[in-house]
Formats: sequence, C-alpha cells, structure tokens
Amino acid sequence: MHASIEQLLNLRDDGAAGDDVAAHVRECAECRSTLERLNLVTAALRSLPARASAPDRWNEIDARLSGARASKSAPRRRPGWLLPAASAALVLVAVLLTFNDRDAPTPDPQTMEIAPAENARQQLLAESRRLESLLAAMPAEPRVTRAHTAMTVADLEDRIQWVDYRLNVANETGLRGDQADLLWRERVDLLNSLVAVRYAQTRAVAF
Amino acid sequence: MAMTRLLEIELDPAVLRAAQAGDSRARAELYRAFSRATYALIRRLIPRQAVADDLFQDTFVEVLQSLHAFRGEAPLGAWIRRVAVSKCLMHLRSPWHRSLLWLDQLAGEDANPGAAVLPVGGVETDAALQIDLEGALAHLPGQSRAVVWLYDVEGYTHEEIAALFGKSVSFSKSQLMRAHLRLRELLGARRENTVCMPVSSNF
Repeated sequence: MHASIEQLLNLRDDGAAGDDVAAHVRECAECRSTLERLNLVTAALRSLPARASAPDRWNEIDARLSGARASKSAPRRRPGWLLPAASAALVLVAVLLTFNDRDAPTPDPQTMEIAPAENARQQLLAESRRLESLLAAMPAEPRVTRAHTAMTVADLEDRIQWVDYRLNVANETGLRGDQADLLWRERVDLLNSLVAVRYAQTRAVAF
Repeated sequence: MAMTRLLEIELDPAVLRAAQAGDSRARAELYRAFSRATYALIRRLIPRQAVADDLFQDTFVEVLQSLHAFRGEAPLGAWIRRVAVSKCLMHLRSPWHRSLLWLDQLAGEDANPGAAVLPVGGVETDAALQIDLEGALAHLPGQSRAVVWLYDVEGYTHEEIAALFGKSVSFSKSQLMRAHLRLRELLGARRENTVCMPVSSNF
C-alpha cells in the first residue's frame, strides 16, 4: 500500500503525515519518486516565467480615478421623482423577466424554466429550489473537515455547476425537452447527495 | 527567467507619499512599478485574457483609491497582491465565471497556453516540464488552480486560503490535493503522447 498524495503533501509541507508514512516513504522507491515529482512540479511552478506583459491600462485607470473624484466632489441632489421611477422600473423589469424567461440571454439556472408546461419538470424545479433552500439554511461548513468529505463536497458542487452551465446554455445548444428533464433530474439527485453529505458533516460536528 | 514577485518590488518612499497625497505622476510611477507582477499573478489565476485585463484594471483602481489608508505595516506589494487575489477569487466564485467555464475549455489560445508555445524540437528536461506545466495549469479547474498557485508559489498558508475563499482549511487541502493529482495526470498524459507521436502534430 503506497502513500496517498494527501499524505505525501502533508509530508512535504510540514511533516504532519505521521512517522509510519515517513518510514514507508524512506523505504519505498515508488513513493519517494512520487514525492520527488511533487517537489519538482512545485519548483517548476515557482520558476514559470510571466505569461504575458501587462496591458497598458494607465489611461483608463486614471480616467476612472478622475471620474470617481469628480462625482465625489459634485453636489449630490437626488430628484424627488427618482425613487418612484426606479421602483416602477424594477417592477416592470420583474414582470418582463417573468414573461420572457426563455428569451433571457444568461438566465439564472436556479430560476430558469426551459419548457414550463410539463408538470414533471415543475416538480423537479420545485424540488431543486427546496433543496437549495435547505442547503442555504444549513450551518456553515465546519473549520475542520475530513479531506475526503471536503473532496466529495467539492466534487458535487463542481458537478452541479456543470449541470447549471448546460441548462444555462440550453437555448443556444438546442437542448431538447427530454434532455433538459434529465439534467434537472441529475441536478436534484446531486443536490440530494450534497444535502446528505452536508447533513452528515453537521451531525459529525454536533457529536 | 524567474517571475517578478510582487513582494520583492520596492518603491521609493517619497514616490509612495506623493501617490498617497494624490500626485498623478507618482501614481503613474507606482502603477508602472507594480503592474507587470500584478498582471502576471492575475493571469496565473485567471487564464481568460479579457477577464484578467478587467480584473487588473479594477485592482489598480481600488489600490489607488484606497492608497491613503495604506499604513506601510506590510510591503506595498503584499497589499496590492491581497487586492488582486481577492478580486480574482471573487470572480471565480461568481455565476459569470461558472457560465464561462465551458467556453474556457473550448477556447484554444487562452485555455491552453502551453499548446501555443510548445516547441517542435527536443528540449531540456526542466524547460520541457515548464512548457507542459503551462498547459496543464491552464486545464485545472479555477479553484484548484488558484489554490495550488497561492499555496505552492505565493506562499499562502491553508488557513489564509481558507479565509480568502470563505471555506474550511480542509477545502484548501483537498483542492491542493486535487490540483496535484490532476497535474500528475495531465503531465503523465502529455509525456506519453510525446513519446508516441511527434510533438508538432500532437499539440
């Protein structure tokens, strides 16, 4: 049984991998080679040259700074009609977004509805929102978590992001209704798994 | 050629004081002194050039707007680095970045800088690794790339990275592990490909 990357990184960084791991690495040529490779990669990362020269943005930066100074020094008087007008505009935008959901260029995946007619889809959307709310209501992740748990959480979050992205570009990629249904189903399954892992994390901390 | 590190750059104290007082020429000098290293850092965290350019500009606007609050307790470069990293991580956490992820994978020039510069002939081992590493680094997921760069190159601790991301120390450690596992896969795959096929036709 060889040392894991996690153990080798711990050994490399602060020697916190444990005496048994350190002893194994001393004896095992393969683990020593992996550790050397890690060191080599880190050294190579540190010696990478700058990728590109900086763009000359001084004029833009200076203009923005001057603009900010000018707006600070200018007297600020808000017209009396501005607040009601802004409120009315917000209501109008909300109404338009509600009725033009499918035409939005970059819709929010959490609220997007590709073909809102189907009942099954509605249920998946509702379940997706319910699980999102549940996750949002959970306590923050504990400061100390098992690395594998953290990896699982990160994996699930990555996969949810990927599903969100595909749903986001559904219109551009010509996603069919049944394909969208599968993605929403996958999203709900992933969220369910994430809730289960986060719940287990919470329980572990409580005990 | 080693990358210029932000923390190693020194600015004449008189220029800094003048810049803090709002002197435009001194501010321009400060910008010139730190811009290259700042941009290099941002490009490491954000391979997409257009986004990196905007974040670079935002960084300097914020730095110069709040320069009067800089007390000199840490090097100016460390302060600028903190602003730049914070802006990059904010972008990586944003829905906008998520929607660009897929496009990043498709975009040849920005997502795979190593491919653009890979030489045709044989190269020395270290140089070859550097070139492969450029490409491999660009293929890492954004958060993993940020963690490996901040930890292995910039010298941040796991605690500092966790605080920057608003996550746990375990998150930082697991991202570092994922990054190294992925780098190993990518570098291994590239090496195998290099053995099997001519480099020029493979990349």
